[in-house]
Amino acid sequence: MSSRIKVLVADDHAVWRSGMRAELGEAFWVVGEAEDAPTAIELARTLEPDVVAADLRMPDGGGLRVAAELSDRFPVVILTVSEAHDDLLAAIGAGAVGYLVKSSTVAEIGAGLAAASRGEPVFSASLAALVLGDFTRVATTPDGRPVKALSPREREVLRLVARGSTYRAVGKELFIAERTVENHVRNILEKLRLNRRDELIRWAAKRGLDE
Amino acid sequence: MGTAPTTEAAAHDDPGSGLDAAVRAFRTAAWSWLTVVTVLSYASVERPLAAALGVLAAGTVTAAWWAPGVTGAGAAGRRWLLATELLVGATLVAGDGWVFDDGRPQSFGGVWPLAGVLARAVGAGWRAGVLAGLVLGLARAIGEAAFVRGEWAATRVLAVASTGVLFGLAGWAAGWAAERIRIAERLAARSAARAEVAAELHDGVLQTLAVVQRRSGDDDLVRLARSQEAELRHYLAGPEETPTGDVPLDVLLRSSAADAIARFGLRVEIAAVPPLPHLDRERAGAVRGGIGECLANVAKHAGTDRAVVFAEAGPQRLVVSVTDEGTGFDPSAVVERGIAGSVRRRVESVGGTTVVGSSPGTGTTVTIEIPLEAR
Repeated sequence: MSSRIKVLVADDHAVWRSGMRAELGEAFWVVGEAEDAPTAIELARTLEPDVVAADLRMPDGGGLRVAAELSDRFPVVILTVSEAHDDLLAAIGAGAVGYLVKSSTVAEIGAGLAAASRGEPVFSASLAALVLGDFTRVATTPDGRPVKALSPREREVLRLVARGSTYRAVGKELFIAERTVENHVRNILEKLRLNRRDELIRWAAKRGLDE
Repeated sequence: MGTAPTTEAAAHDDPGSGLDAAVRAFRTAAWSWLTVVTVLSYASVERPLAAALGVLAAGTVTAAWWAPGVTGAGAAGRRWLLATELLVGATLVAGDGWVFDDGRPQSFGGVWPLAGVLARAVGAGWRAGVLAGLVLGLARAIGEAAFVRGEWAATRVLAVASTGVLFGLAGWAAGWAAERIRIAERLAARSAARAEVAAELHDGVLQTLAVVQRRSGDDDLVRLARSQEAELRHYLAGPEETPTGDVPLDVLLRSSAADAIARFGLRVEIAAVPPLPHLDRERAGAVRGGIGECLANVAKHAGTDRAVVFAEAGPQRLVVSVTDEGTGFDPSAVVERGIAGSVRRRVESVGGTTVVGSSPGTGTTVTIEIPLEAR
């Protein structure tokens, strides 16, 4: 029992929650279900799951709020049908370790949740592309503050992942270990978070809202 | 006037009540001015009865346009009204020299006949507008020949010809502008509908389609759900038609993916680095054809049902690639058929290049590069 991965499913669609419970299989244990962000946050604190699977769009804050509140203590994976890139990147920037598209196969969702529970980033090609675009956007922010830019190697890694290569294939292509690729991805996400946080601070400063 | 314009507005959508209202306002103002001028210049009116009849006829037509039910496209009353309006307008233009003596302050119809040209142009396009304008020009020429004595000096010929040119130009301009406005209105309406679907409906529908894809054991149903999901995403991505005729790349990627999903049951992930450019028709065609060909090849030869379409654009060039993790092949051993050949042809037609990277066991990546600066 203890070797099963404990999952908290936060989704306002009941059919999805019951589906996850039914399909995830022996390796997982759905310890709780929440239908909005505040419930998910509360449940996570009492149930201590290994991973939180949160829908991007839920009442009272959605996956963005879940990620912002919980990602310090639990890996949060965003599950989404949405193509709302801004929301998605905001959730990643708030600490989510990645996202899975809901139409993925059970095996893919299972693999993603397992990876996330081990603290690994869940990085799809489309997310890599969005992140690549976000770094370009941030780098061109006109107010001159230095931003955490990607190193040439990180950019290379990100582009290969965006093109659809697995970590293993990326490693082979760049003559580095799969583990190293994973570290690069983790660092990229960390930089994205720092940039997003900086952006938020600057945004607040501009409006005179910070202390 | 037997030369009534022949193109009809049957194929047009509602010509935009806004445009009709604008022409109606113009017509009414023009008629008021026509009346004022005729009354004030009563001294130079040679045939008061004809003048009164002309003003009355124009007024009747003007008033008729305010009646309910005439503005809808295809309304029977509208055609008659258009024809009558042009006839009255032409008569006023032609009768100018007959109604007034030579001391008149302006031509009898004033600017009122122009309303007929504008209404034609707005309803049936610029060709109909130009034709209506030429009809008025012809009427002017006939009127001059019949009622105005004097030499046909070059200046007089020019003046008469100018009338036709001016009315014709006005018809062309109004028709052209109306066409543009109509396109913009249509795009705006579609975009509003799309926003509504996106806000109200799509989340639930996509959830359902996702659940179907994951929980159904029926392969056909799964494929159908996948295809419908792709179609919905394509629709939500926005219109392929833009006023300039350019195609937004993200919309193009989605339509290519939706097509491959529907035809082959592939699972296609789109990894597009924002911001994405708009492509002109030739480049859009080359990219669409190239991606389509690549995805078809994945479905036929790669032994996998999954592919990633990647796109990134700089100011000078666009990179698009299609990657699968299928069986792969040895590019040096495979003759330049199918995969590279047809893709390459399309891409080279817009000055681009194609690179095929593959080896047995690691899958295949086809990379297309297209220059973006103006050729």
